[in-house]
Amino acid sequence: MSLFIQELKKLLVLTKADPKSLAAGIIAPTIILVIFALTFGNFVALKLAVVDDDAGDLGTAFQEAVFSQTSPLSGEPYFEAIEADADEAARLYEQGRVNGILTIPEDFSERLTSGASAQIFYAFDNYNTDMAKNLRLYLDEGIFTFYQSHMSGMEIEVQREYAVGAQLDWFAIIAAGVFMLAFLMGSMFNFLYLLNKERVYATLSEYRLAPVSLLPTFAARIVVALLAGALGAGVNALLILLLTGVNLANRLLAILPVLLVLGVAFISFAAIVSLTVRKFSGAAMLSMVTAVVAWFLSGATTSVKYATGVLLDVALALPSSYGLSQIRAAVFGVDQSVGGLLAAGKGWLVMGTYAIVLATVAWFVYRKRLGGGAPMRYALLRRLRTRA
Amino acid sequence: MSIPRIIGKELASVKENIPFNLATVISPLLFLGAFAVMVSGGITIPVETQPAASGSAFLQATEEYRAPDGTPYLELEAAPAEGVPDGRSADRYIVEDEPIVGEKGATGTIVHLVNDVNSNMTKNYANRLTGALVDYIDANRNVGTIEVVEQTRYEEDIPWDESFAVSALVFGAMLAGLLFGQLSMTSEWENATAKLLVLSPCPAMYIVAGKVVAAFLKALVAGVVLVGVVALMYGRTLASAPWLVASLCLMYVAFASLGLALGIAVRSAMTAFLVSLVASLCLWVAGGGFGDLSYFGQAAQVLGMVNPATYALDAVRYAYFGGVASPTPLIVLAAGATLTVAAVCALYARWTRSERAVS
Repeated sequence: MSLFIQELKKLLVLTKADPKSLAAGIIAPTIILVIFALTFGNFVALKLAVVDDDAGDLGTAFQEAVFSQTSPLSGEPYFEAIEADADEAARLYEQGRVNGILTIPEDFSERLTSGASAQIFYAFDNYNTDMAKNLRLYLDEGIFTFYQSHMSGMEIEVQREYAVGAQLDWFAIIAAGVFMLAFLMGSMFNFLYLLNKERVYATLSEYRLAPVSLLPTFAARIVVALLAGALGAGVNALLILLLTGVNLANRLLAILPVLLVLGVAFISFAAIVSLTVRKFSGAAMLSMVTAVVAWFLSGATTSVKYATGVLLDVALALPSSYGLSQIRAAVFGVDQSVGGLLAAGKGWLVMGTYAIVLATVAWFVYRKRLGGGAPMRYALLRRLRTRA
Repeated sequence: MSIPRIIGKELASVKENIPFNLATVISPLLFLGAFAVMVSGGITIPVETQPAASGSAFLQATEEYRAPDGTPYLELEAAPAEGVPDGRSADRYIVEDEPIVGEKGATGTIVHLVNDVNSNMTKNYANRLTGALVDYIDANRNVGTIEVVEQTRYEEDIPWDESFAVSALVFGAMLAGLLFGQLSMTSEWENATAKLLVLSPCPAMYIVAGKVVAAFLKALVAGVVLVGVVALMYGRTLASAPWLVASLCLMYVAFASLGLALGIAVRSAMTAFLVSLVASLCLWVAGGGFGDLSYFGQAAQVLGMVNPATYALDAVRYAYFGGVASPTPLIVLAAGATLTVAAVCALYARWTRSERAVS
């Protein structure tokens, strides 16, 4: 126990002496959160240039139907109309200042009132299927509303009911994921940074002379790393409260065990990679990048319950998917699991297995690299005794 | 010491830390793979229905409701039971009264049962249901409907995963540039050769030029690998190879310079790496790499105007998919690259004259 305490004190002094490592672990996820807040926390209407050549009144009514539809995501209209003539609209579209051009032809009202079908012309940038889908379906919202108000005998009704207790901004969902990332990045970075620092100071070689097991030192490193991660996550949680009103502290008792188990798993992974590969910095870098990639694949931006195919297989293989699912379930009061595979029981089994296996392997690698292994230590002690 | 010798020394130093250099090439690949996998499901989302699709003409039509490229918007599955679904299920469309559409009218009631707290998914399900209804009405009625005549920029919608992969090239360019740039300086700190740099009679501009060119060459190798992988994954013929080369090379120069500046300021390779990773990610997201900038508010638009990633994304997308050929992105990138190199030269010169340089 005293070796654990001594090592803990040493690592805390080391951390305090070089606050850059803490700062980096805090600042990095904070910046990520702010960027996501500025983007995914601030949706606005897409701009459409409108060229209304309609000779009658229905063109105006159609415009009103299209541009009055509001999104459940932001509460804002789907589209913002930019009135323009054909040339101006084309210029704005070419410059990328509008997402598309909606042209209502001259005979729009005439055709509808005569009982025929009317046409509208819709020019837009389909540079990816998701944007194209949104532009098409947002327009359909307007068309449906127009049918409901102007089509004779139109009595199709769509009702919306809720099986969940609340509707949250997409950014709040992402923020819960950034909180987890802040913890993992802070922990991993602290572990790697302090190990590297001692490597540079050449004090790691002293571990080879330790007459006792290095397990307490390994445990102390993990504890300090978890504390560093907790500090980073704490700052992140405060910022989340300011930006979204979501108070993660309320559910701390539920979240903490998840973070601890995931933290042990990810720190151990970082330890294995960085201690196995000869050149520390490259391996450390790769392990941090892998953690961020794993975060994305674990449903960072949306629940994995919508994942299919390869994405679902990969997500279900990652412990962070289960952890993030449980954190969101605790914070938002919902069951985010899918078909039993992400259920709490199975989640703990997967996360726990990763943590135990990785920590065990990390311990053996740590002991071999830093301690030189028991045979080496005994050989060294025998030599020293013989000389004495 | 001439510039070619400095470049030679920087390139030879790859042998000192092969894992780091390899990791710098592999890291963007990991992100590319992750992003491509993340959106591999495309625009299709699962939905539960009540009754099963076979029990409703409208739901059968909804099952066939597709984007023009043939991708279904929805994957229908019968709800396991009536009543409130558990949190693990997708949203549900409940046909309370079967929609009947004729020339004289249309009736029916559909309930959209929301089963996710994420309002973005509620929007997605609501949009698809509305689109399916409009499609159903248009298919079963000839009077009073509105036909949308599309005039899209590209003949076919660009697949989401391919668009994402192409935008990941910009992320990779920033990350590789920053990492190789910062390594050229942090390795000097770690090898305790920073003093030799300070004492060198070689003009600051020569040393900066040598280091930036070397970092550029290494980043170019990483870029070739990334572009090659994208080519293998999607096999698309480039609309403009010169645009791709120009935009990526300008990004490598700019970010290798920024990386060098980072390495001067931050003496630790680990800390510089973390800053590089976060900076690349944030610039990429803020530049429209993750979601189009037009979705986001004024603050994001203003940030986008000063973000090199915004222009690089425009240029790289044009290089792959064609469209409107505006030279603005390349001009801005060229100006940015020139300015950053000049700024780093000034910063380096100032650093060598500073008393702190050898402390």
